[in-house]
Amino acid sequence: MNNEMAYLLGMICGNGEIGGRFDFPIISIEIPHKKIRTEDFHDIAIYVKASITDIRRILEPLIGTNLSFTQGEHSAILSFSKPHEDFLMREILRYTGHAVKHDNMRIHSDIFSFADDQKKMFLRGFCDVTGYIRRSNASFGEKYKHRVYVEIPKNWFMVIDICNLLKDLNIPVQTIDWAHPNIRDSNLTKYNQGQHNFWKKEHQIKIYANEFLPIGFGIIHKMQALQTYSEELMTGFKVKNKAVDKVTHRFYWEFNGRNSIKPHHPGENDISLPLQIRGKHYDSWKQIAEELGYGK
Amino acid sequence: MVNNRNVKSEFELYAPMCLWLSTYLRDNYKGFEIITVDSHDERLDSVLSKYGIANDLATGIGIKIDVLGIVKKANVVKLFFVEAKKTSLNLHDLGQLLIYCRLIDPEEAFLMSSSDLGSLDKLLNTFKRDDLLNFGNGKKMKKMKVAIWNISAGTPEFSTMIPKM
Repeated sequence: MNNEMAYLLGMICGNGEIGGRFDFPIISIEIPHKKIRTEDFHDIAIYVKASITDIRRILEPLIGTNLSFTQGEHSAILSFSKPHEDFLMREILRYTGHAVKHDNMRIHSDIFSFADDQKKMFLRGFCDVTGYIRRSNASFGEKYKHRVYVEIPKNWFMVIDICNLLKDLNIPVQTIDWAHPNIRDSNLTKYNQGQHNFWKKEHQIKIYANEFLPIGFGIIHKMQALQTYSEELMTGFKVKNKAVDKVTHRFYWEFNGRNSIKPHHPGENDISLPLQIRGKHYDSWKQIAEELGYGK
Repeated sequence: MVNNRNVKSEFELYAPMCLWLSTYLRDNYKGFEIITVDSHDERLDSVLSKYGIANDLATGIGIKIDVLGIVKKANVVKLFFVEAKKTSLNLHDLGQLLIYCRLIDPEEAFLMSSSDLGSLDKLLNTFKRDDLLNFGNGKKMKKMKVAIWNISAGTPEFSTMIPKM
């Protein structure tokens, strides 16, 4: 495995689609950006364009063909095509389990055997297309506790795979906001307002900014924000005279948190939930994570 | 710009580079004994002798490597050199490590700066003169690797690495 291929696989597993003809698949990767301006009022589209130039320079020699690029208001799309028999295409299809969309992909078991450098590049590719860091991502109302959010729609097991890959690299997840009724509408507030499916959102993996530094982003404005917010986080802890590591570098099974008891939610039986957890009640995100395979 | 802030002193780069090299060697040389050491203030022959390795070519010529990696198994010993810079890279930096490589013939060698590729950017990326990175006895293709060091990630910034690994 090489770093560029690991990065490309990460992007595909994060937000890729494999379409086109069977004998000539087209791979497209969407790089979304929620806002059109950064928090210091720079035009994000310009940053994304500049980042795409770098990404093309890195990936084009690997794929041996041109990457097409289209820019929309809230996303940019990279795409390329190669014959099905091409070695690179066959490898991509093998690593993605021949799934046509990221929703149905898992992280191939071989990726867990990659060298640390390649695991990091895979995660960087993944998070370039699924990760966000904004001032509003701070934790528990403490403004300096900045976090990276990795957003994964629908794919429950991709969440678990990403958390386990992070665990391999000794990077703890602070919390997972599962798209589960007990987590996203834990007191049935929205349910009682008639919004029965309110909880059906994307899953959010949250990681403290400083813990995410070993991965980093390839997208310029995200990397700049990560560096800024990590520094703010470190300074915040210093000012409060608290040890950063004792707060940010902890896996959930390393501390005993009390779970508040939550009421049952009719959505616990929803057909969209994976079989392992369907029909069960959870008082904490940790119980779901453990049940699905992310634990000690 | 890979790093939004540079280190104050080159010394700050040695420990993280040592750590990265250790991980890199552990991942790529499974089953080998792995040693990585910050050797910037000691002559190579002296460091090697501490680990029971004799290298006649290194003796008495005052080579100092910033970070040295050694992998050992039975009679097999492979060396890895890392040269760290906090300033923009230049021909002098390239020449220094290249001479060490041509003399000692390590398994791999890395020239990394926490600033930028400096004049080597034009030489290697625009003029594509990566032939200047060649060393070894010709039986195996060996090229020095040049990259920007990513301070916050504690790894080389692989997107800048020449040649790609």
